[in-house]
Amino acid sequence: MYDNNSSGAIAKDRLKYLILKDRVSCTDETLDMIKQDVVKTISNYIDIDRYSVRLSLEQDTKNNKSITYINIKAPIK
Amino acid sequence: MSEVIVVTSGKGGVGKTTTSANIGTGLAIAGKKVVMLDADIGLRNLDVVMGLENRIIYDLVQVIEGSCRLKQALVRDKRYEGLYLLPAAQTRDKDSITPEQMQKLCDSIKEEGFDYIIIDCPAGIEQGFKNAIAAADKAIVVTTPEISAVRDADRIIGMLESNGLLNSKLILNRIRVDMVARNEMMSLEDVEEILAIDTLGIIPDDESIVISTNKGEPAVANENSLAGEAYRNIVRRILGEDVPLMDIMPSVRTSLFDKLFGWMHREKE
Repeated sequence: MYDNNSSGAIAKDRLKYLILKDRVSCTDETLDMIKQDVVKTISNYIDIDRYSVRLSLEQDTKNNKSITYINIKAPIK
Repeated sequence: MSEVIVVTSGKGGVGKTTTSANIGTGLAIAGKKVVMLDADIGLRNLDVVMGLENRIIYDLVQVIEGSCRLKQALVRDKRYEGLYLLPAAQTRDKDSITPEQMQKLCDSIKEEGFDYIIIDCPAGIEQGFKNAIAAADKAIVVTTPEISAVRDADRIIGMLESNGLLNSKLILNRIRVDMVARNEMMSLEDVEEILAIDTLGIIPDDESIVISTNKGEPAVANENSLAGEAYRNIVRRILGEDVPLMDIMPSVRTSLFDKLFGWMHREKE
């Protein structure tokens, strides 16, 4: 129903991400600390491009239950 | 059996007090014996919305401290049989009572044979919130279709749940149908999807609410008010009736029609 540029759709997307962070009580600083730690740990084993690592909170619905997870993208050099 | 319902929201200014006034009045019109309890100590307003501000003698803190009897503090609304207001104290702060005292106060109101106690909760998540929900059997969460209000509602729902108040019900206030139709405002479906609680009602943004607040006469008693009709529906649902949500589609249809008409017009030009 939405075109993705309508302000209603923008509001919904922003709200979803805000609430996701509220629910896991996770601040941006915490996420950043997790990211630094993960980069360090992976770098012990594999050479990754540490400046392109992306970490985000995401949500999925499975069997009517929503699951929140941390998604990490760490490009290997 | 009496039931204690707390009206809460987290964020201020989304319509808690107006909702409390309208639900309380609506239940009284339906023949119930109702106390509207203003738990917003220090910032009382339910009396003003109800037009009862000049009738207050004692307040809830004085009842709790024992400096007056409950019956002395209850303000009877002469317009509606069975409707009473228990005002908040204006010159005290929210720490002057405890959740246990609120519980005892509600118990003594129940003993007077009231069917419903409607508690108008203060904004915020601190002591005032904890006092207001202490005696509640059910919670109504009021929000508007704005990011900040829905976000706060989500936190409040979580806090209600951790205090044993499951199954809170949603009232989505101040919906502007025209803006929802243009996708410039979140719809009920959007908010429902995010908050994942059942909807008790939707209230259209309606200037009759401003007018009724100006006069101190709840819109629920006004047959010509659209928001009043929405509140009447909510009251019927609280009483257990199965009332469909207010149909907002006609206006959507109108606006689509306007759009089509607009295009045709432009084509001609």
